[in-house]
Amino acid sequence: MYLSMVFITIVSCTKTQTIVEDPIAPKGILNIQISHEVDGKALIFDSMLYHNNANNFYSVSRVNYYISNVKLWGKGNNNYLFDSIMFIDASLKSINFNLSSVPVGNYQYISFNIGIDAARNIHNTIPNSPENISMLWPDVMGGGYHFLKLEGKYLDSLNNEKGIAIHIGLNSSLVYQNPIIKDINIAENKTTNLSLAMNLNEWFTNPYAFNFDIDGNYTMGDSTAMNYIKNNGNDVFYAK
Amino acid sequence: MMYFMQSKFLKISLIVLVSLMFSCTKNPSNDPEINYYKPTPYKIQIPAGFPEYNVLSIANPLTVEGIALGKSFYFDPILSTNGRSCNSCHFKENSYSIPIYNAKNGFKISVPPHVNLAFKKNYNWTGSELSLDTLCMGDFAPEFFNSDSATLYAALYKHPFYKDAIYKAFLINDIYTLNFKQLQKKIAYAISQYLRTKISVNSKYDQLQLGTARYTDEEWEGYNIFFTEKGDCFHCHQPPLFSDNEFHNNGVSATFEGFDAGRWLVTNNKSDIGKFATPTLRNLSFTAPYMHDGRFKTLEEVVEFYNAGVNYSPTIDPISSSKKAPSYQLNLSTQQKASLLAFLKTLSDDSYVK
Repeated sequence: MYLSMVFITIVSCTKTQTIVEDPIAPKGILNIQISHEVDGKALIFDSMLYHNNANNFYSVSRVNYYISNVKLWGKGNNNYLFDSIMFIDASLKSINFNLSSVPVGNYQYISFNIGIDAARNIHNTIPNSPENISMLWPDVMGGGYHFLKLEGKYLDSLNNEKGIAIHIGLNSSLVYQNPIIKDINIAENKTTNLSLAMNLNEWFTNPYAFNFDIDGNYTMGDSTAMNYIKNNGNDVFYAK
Repeated sequence: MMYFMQSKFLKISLIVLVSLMFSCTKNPSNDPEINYYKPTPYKIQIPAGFPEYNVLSIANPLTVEGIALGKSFYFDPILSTNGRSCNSCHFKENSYSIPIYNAKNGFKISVPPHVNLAFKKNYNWTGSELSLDTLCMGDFAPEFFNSDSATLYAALYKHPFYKDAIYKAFLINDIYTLNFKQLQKKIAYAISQYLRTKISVNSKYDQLQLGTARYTDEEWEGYNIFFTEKGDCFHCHQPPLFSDNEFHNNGVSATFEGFDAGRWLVTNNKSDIGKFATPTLRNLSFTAPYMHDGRFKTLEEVVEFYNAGVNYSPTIDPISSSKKAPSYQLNLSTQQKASLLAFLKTLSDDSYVK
């Protein structure tokens, strides 16, 4: 009986969370802080400072995305799933969220999705906050939500400044962030901090050197371009 | 003995009766210790899919009486010394907007309509106002109502409707207990309560969602242009509000004089130069002319601008500038432009302006 699992669903204006919880196990909190960088340096918005492996110079004006299904990997299949959807706006000064009821223990990896899983990637499944509404992916293009909006400008081959709208959505573009190696020790009634950084250039780098002139500066409706970005997204985060 | 008992009973009954009569007629606010009367809470029915952003205000909870008071203020020149009311610049037939307002500072402004304001994050083209509760505070200024403190107090105090209505909405028995700023704030609160009820969701687009209307082939083609990369209107004009509640430089200007500077006028941040709040496209058939300064008289001009007239500037939105430089053409055919127009016209709610 004590081993029976309790499912708690909490709906707030910005996130929907389902916590798989053992009621008698001691718990702690994992606070995850998110930062955004380009090749090791803090992101500066609206500056034509960056260049990718295809030698496109670009700037960044918007980074919005979802993190969901955060999973902590412990030894002996002692894993913990935080089944929430977090909207991230990189322009905010401080970005962090809590996994508020993590069973005490040592975890070796953390993984998560960038985007929303198929079961919840349906209009009106998550709360209709202004942020979530702005992430809607039109029905006529497949429906659901944008998983990522990475926008800015780049210099095209004629040195004209053009917009870049690197958007991915649709279930086939869900990004599985590879497990990040990090010792995470959760102690009872204590808060453990974990800092994760997204290297924005990684979206255009590995394994595919994305070229805005050749592969496109606008990815919606272009499944090939979205697929390149999705695959590059598997390791955009690292632990600091 | 019997007579005495009857007399005593009658006396007690009389006292109770008189007490009850007084308790019924007594204005409870005269006794600050006990307030029997409470305004009637009002709950907005939020249309499906709409965000619950500014619907509720802890400082200014919605009540039936507050909304009624706000509605009276909206249409009544009693707030001004120049005969103006809110309705003087927010005409019903224009979805409660005015085609052009020539501001004293020289700005020419296409006034945003009062529609679905309860669901917005900020107000005015530049986002100069963050709260619907206080949106109307600026209207007491000389340029608009030119309100005079003594005149307004006297007019409201002696007015048989407002004296009672203000009490019923806010439990204020004597407006002279408020200073002028406090009185203005209460008036703005009442008007904002009324504005929160101004919801428009009966366009052909809404009826299509409900399955009570059908689009023509042309409207469907326009729908597909709007909601795909072909027209790419949806990124900023996201349903159900047909606004993303954000600020963008859509490329309408190449240089930025006066009001054209947009959001920069509020933030003084150079990355905000030329950015404006995304206007709702709901009821756009009633809100010509278009853009912040009304530079386009018709929707045809608006579509042509997006099709082939977008101007580059350093702060232009990435979406607006993602097509082929230098003018970022959509390359819509004549028929496609007509179809897009046909779709846009389905976003207007005739019942809202009747």
